[in-house]
Amino acid sequence: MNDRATHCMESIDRYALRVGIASLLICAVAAIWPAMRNQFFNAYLFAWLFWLGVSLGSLALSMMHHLTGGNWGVLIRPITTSAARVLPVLFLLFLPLLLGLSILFPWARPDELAHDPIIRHLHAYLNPQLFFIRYVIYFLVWIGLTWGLTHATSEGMRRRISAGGLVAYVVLISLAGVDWIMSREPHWSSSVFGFILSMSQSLTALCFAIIILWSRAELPSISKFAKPKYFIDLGNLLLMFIILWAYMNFAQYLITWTGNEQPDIAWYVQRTYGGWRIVAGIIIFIHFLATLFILLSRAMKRDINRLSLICVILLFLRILDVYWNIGPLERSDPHGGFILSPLDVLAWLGIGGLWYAAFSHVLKNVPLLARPIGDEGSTYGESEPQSA
Amino acid sequence: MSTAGANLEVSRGSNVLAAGYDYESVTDKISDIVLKRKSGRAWRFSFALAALFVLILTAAVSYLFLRGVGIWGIDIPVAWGFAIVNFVWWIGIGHAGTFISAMLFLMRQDWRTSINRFAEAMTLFAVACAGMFPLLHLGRPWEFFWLLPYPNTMWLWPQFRSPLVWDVFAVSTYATISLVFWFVGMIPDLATFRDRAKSRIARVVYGILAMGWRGSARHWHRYQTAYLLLAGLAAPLVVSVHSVVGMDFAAAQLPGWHSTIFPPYFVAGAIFSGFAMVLTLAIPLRWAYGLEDFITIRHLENCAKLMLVTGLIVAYGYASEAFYGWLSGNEFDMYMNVNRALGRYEVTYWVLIFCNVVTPQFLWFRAIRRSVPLLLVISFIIQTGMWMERFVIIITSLQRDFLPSSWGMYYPTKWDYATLFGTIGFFTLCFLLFVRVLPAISISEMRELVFEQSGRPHKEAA
Repeated sequence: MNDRATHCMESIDRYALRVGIASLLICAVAAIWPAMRNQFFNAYLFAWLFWLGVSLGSLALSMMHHLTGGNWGVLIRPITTSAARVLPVLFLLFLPLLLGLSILFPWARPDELAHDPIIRHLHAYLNPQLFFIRYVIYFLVWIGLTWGLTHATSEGMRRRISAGGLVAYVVLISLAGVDWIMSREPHWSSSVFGFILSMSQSLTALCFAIIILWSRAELPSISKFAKPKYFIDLGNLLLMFIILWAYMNFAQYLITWTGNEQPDIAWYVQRTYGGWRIVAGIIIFIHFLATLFILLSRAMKRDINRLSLICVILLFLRILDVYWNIGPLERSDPHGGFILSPLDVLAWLGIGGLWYAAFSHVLKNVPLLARPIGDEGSTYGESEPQSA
Repeated sequence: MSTAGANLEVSRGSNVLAAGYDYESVTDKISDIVLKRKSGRAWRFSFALAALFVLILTAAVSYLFLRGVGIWGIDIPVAWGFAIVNFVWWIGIGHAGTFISAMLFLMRQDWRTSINRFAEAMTLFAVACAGMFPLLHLGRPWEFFWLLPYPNTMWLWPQFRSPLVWDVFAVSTYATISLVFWFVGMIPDLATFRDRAKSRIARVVYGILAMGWRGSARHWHRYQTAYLLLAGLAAPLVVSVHSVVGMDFAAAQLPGWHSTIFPPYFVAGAIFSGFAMVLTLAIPLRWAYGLEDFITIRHLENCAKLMLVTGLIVAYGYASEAFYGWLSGNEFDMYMNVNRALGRYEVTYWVLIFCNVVTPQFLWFRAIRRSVPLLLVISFIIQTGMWMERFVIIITSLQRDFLPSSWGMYYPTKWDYATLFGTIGFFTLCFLLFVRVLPAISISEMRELVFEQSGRPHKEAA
């Protein structure tokens, strides 16, 4: 099983960059046609947001581990730190979206600005200039945090960066969620959305990190430490993220449903129309319920092969969830039914290919373990000075 | 303790237990508080003071039954006054107990051991105080069973879509599980008390409560399975109970209540105020009974760290209410924010911001987290702030809703205050009694800690 995983990862390594560039070229050519432009920008935004989730979630996981300790993180922290270090690539990959602001965001269209009082009300905050400035600030902070974590000289310093960094991350991703997702439907707002987004990103990043760990589990320096108890810890963390993610989503749904107010429910009405209903069902029944029950079993968590199989399925469902959240806006089906265009796949492959090539390059140059794994004792709190 | 193998001693202190303790001295130290020590002057004074407030509570409740809820300041539009503020405040305080006993147990945190027992007791007493308020607020408390779905000749059922009905189930489940969890965890210690008690009555009472515990391997095996299962049952309650309480508000369309962040933000607020209460109880407790070796600075510091984290989530909640209120472009939501910060109750809002947003920021500093007197002061401030938060959410939203013609004011009466301070007295009284008759720290788990710690020094030295 592991041989296959390693082999599979090797071929991904080999072709990622080429596939990425080729897919993006096809997307770019398609975008020349005005008829395809809507489709292109929507697909690109979705793909970019998915891969941003892997990087930012990884940054959050690294910071969580610096703060709380535990041996689970020693195995995956090199992976999460490397994934976070790809953020500059994502910063650059965002630039094409600036060409399609008026396609993606109603507040960037002059006619809507003239007619819609809400958009006029929001104009002081949601306008292209401030949007651009905020995007630069978000990335400066996130890249700065990653840089700080990699270059800090002591564990104490990394801890301090992580404590402040987690606060900054949650606040900024909430604002970024407003900019990049929520403002596409300016009449809708949900205050828990920032939490949902940060949970989703951590969940995506953890799935990704476990899969990469799986492909490296045979390496001698890792296999020595790759014990079932660490996988159980990773599985439990995964379970916790799934439960929290579902809890926040359910809170948002239940409150919107009981309120039954026009601008709010429209968000859900659109996302449960036609084929979208099936997507929503898959997210509820497989992404949440099925994985919940599977991950409750210890037998599934202690074996890295089984655990990463679940993560592969989960990662696919994560893509679906991001797609569902971006929603049916401005896609080619005039009725708003579910549609998956080839451009969605190509954009995902394109950004993913470039992202993965960069990630794999970084990963090869970092140590395999974050630090030598001690025994049980060296978990939380051990490095604190003793009380008198 | 004669054989060398059994007489393990913690030779090097750790940050959860000081050096020099073995099984026997741990047991002595905890059980002597109840079985040997006389109640001191401080205890008797506190007890008398608490009893006075219980009398005030009795008077307030008796008068309420006599005259009805009209003696409170509630009216239309503010029909939910102090009663619901106090309910949410008390039920929130209980959450830290369950968090410590269930969540931290499942997460294998060793620092929960010496604080879980009294934190669980705190939960029970807080839930008892909380449970009083919805019943008193009913107007006809003797008809309380109408809250429950039961077949009746009128074929009348509660509205199952209302979170207020979910509350009945959430809170009663919470009270039941907390009680069972607390009691099951105490059984081995009750047996210790039974064996050590000098008076016959004490031996009989502790003997009955110990349910025939003999400490056999089979007993321990079953006990630990039961404890783990109960921890698993209690853990979701940390989140579910206060989420339902949050839903009580969020399900309404009132500006300032109808916000999707309410469930997680309420849960964080509950744990925030609960840890403040844990500190408020732990600091006098360790001082009065010389328990500094068991409840160490590390325990206090960790509580402070959790207060900082949950405090930041609460601050995020306040910020997001203002930000998303503006973002919605809804004039009522925007007005709600203005009314909170600058309206008739503006003082309460700014007190809340000072207590819950500004004060916890001091906990970023290690020196403050490790200073016992400062922690006590901060924990008082936070509890005040969390009470104020519920006041602001409930009163300012009800006071000015959509129609200016139905706006009004709310002025609490002396009976409102009497009931609030009366329950604080009741809570204190219960806690004082608990400390005198039951083991305030788990003896059996502390012995386990001795076992674990005594095996550690050579590893730590490496």
